[in-house]
Amino acid sequence: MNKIKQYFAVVTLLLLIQQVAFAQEPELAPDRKAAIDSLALEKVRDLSKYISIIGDKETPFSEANRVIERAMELFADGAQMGVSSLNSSEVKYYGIRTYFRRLMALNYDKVKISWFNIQYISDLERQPDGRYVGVITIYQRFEGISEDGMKYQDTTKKDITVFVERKQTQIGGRLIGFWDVLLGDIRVSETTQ
Amino acid sequence: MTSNNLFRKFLLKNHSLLLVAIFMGSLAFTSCKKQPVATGPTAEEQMIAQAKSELQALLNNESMSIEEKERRLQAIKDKNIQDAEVQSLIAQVEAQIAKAKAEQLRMEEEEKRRQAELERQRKLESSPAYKLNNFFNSIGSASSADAANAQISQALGLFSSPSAPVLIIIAQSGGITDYDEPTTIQKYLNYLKDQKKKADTIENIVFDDAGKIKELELTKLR
Repeated sequence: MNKIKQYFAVVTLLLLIQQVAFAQEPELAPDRKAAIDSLALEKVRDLSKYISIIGDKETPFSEANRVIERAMELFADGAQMGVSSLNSSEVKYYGIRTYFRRLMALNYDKVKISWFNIQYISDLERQPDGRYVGVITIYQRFEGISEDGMKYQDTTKKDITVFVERKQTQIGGRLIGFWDVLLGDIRVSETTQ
Repeated sequence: MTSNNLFRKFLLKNHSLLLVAIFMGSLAFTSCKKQPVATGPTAEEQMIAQAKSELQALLNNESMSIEEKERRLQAIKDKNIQDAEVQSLIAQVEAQIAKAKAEQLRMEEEEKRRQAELERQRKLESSPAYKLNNFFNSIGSASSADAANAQISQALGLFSSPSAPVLIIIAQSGGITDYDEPTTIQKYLNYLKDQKKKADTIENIVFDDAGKIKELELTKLR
């Protein structure tokens, strides 16, 4: 019984030390924080361009596949993309790779996708595990024209969870500290015409 | 009647005629005295005139070399002519020579600067950083994926491997350097092609023994 008490005491002490250490960890200098804010926004803009390339019917198949691989690198494992339509109130969620495959195969003759008003709705905040988490909102304009000339278009507001974590790696004998930005789920918050 | 009396009578009778004769005689004497000597200019006068002529010619000659002008001027100065006009002309030629020398010096300096700039430009254009920047620009602004791919293939020739690491600085503060996630040159070049973006600024290049780029460091801070 004493051993159990001792065990819990040690665990509690370790947790306390961790909490104190976290509390004492200095905040990022404003310019460093601004740099990671900007980096995360840039990753979202990069995704916007990748989505427009993948969806574009003019993009050669091999190029689209290569771009899908690059776009996949932006996402955290298991991230999902919400897809909505004016024709249905339901929002469907797909794994990111599945979403890209579906986007490539959309049954339109021409597809044009653009993102605008990309901004933080929830600033990057440091979490107890040291990661920074924030939410960036975007508006997506989708235009699809079918072979018979029918045009579908909508504008969807989407919220993207962003995770930013400082990591280290060894390159050329040097220890490099870098910020790993990963995008999480992209959730649909509204769809309009 | 003595001869003296006769002479006196003659004088009294012809004194008017005599006065005229004396006057004419004095006139002839005076005019003979004022007549110039029928000889040419002196040697000194000739030297002065020649010096003036030569100095004027030096002033007017724009094609003669500075060295030749200096040589001719010195020859005139050596004659040590004490004539105000000659001295003034000498001063003018000296001023002209000084001005020409200053202009020549300025042009030589300008030429040196131009040559140095050309050399710097030649070195810059043959440097891997310059070539790489050109590739970055042409990939980012390529008119088609095929055109960009051709540029990417050429650019990769500068590198030891398509997987050569590319580091991108995003912040530097308090002695800490923050990077974006490291990537490879092949991915970075394709990134420029896809995003049609201006490349980040080259911060540092590490070469291997064969002179190929084995590591590239870029920065977003400039």
